[in-house]
Amino acid sequence: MTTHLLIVTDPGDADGARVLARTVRRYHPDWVTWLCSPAPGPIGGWDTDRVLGPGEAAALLHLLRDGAEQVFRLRAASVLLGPLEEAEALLATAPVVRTTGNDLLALRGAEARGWVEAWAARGGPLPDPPPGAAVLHHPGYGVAWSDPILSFTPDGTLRAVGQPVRLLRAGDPAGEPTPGRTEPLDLLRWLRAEREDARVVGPLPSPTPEALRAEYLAWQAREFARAEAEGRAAGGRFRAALVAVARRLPGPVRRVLRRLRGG
Amino acid sequence: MTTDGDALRRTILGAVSASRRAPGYRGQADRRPRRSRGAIRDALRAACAGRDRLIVSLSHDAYARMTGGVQNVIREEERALVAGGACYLHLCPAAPLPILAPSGDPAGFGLTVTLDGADAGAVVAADLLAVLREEAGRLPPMRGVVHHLLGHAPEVVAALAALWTGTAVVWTHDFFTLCPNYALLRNDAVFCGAPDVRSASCTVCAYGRDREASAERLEALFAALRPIIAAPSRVALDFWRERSGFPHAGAVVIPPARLGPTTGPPTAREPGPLRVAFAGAPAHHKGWAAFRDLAAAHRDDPRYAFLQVGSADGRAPGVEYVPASVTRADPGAMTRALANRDVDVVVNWSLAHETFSFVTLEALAAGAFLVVRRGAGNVWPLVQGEGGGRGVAAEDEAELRALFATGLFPDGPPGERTRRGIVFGDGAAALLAGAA
Repeated sequence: MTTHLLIVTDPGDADGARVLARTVRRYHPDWVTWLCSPAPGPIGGWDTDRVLGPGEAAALLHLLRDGAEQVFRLRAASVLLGPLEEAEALLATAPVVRTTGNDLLALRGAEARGWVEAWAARGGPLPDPPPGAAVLHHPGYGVAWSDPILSFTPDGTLRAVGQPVRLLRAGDPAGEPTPGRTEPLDLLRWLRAEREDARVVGPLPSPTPEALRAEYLAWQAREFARAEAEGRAAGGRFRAALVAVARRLPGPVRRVLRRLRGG
Repeated sequence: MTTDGDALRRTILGAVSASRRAPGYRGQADRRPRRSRGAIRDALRAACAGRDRLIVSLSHDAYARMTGGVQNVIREEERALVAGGACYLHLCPAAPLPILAPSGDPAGFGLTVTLDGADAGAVVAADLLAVLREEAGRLPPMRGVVHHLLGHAPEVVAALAALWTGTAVVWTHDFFTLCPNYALLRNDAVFCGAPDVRSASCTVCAYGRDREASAERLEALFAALRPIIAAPSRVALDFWRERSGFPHAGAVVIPPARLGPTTGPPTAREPGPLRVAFAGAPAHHKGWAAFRDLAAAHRDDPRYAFLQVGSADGRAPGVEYVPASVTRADPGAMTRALANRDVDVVVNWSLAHETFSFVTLEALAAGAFLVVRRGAGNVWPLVQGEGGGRGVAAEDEAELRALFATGLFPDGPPGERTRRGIVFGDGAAALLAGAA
């Protein structure tokens, strides 16, 4: 069964959508990813035939009517840090699954389609779920990157209250973590780096080893370029500082230095 | 996490990938004209004349000109093997990098060559390979030892190894074969333990992508070599075997140095406060923050006086700085400085998983009592073994603080100190001098 993922972006947050799409590809390489864009037109990094028009309900309905048996909806201001296996397992038992904060919505079958049709007809925000819908109560879904409950275990898993973090709220990566723990700092650094990289990333390739290798080399080339740009900027600041120091020197000393430089 | 919040914050948020640091290494590149195949052939023939074997040794820099633990081991290994009748050909990348070289094409890969400890110029790997193949019948049998792969192309190493006889030796002086951050510090700050490369810990780490990209190439190299793993400690070997899963034919522990005989009669301790030192670089992952906090907490405590001994001043209030630079010309500088300043206690609160810990050995040689973090790799085993238990291990900083609050020596500090020398080993010379 093919799973389709609809990423809903806020206006102007294509970077966030690309970051989320890349993390989804890491844990669910077989998922077909769609973007629900607030504005029509091409968005960098996305095949235009995978961009749906505005309106979350209309986009979900489009996918379900087009034959998608299973659809997940995530918001762009989030990232995956693990496979959404608990949500998938719950979706096998219920037509609609959502998390407590509505960070995730998952739909399956005709019953879900009927509910989305009614939502699309009525419009507005997410309505009350239909009878038989399930709520996923899992602290690792929809936890904020700055939450002090996050901690790494020796096997490298990030946990929230003992449960592995799957879906992390990535909003406000310019924000400040609460002092006292290293995990929010690790996450903040990563989210900033991913968003920086997402600004220039090309189309998302299929996750074949060759494509991933090519993507790594492209990423490495960008890292080289950034390092060189940072070096130039630092050099510029150093020169500016030297000039500032030189300007404070007494006139005779400046004249001697100028003569030594041949100026 | 320590109270050293600002430094830690700067470290983590400032962590960048090894790939991004790579352009900064360009200034160190060996840009000399590459030697011709004829010149390489002549140099090898001359160096190998009368020798019974040719040792091909690889590491990350020109060991004969550099100072450091790995370089010391190579130097001693070279000395022992050359004395035993071997020729020692050492190769390092002409363009150093903090990662594996991106390209495995020997035609585009430069190597800096050291022959029997002397600089022998720079070559193109493809030319060296061609000469070694052509001269296979004339040159003595080749054995190979890999001390470090930083900056190397595993594909070039595999091509060299195809010419070696016997089983290659690969050292785990640090954990570079597990991750480009060879100290295994997530975002340069916290020991990560080398979890699965697809774990969340690696995903959020600045080194994660470089690690993922290098793992497959390293696995292929180990599969081709099936080497003997040489580790500086049992702790390092066990950890590496548990985390790498790379194929290998066997493993051996070879400590790079041991404590030697006493260097004189015991010296009596002068009355006064206990002199407590931090030895080495004042870096977060070496436990500087924990030491600084300890010194701050006991700043007005008449029981203690705090010192920092090393080549860089950590500038901590209430801590006296004592300069000491270990160099090739002065390998005993740290031990001498600790001994000359009558240091009673050295706190080694390394947050890393130390594979050996020279600084611990230096402190023991200076006659100091060690206070260490129990989980810091080989630090505590070294104190228990070489140091005969002359120290105490604490689980965490709370226990460390409690030790100093209650007093380290309820019955008074040891009345005298015994100083000892440090005896360096000869690396993998014994293995490489053997038949296979």
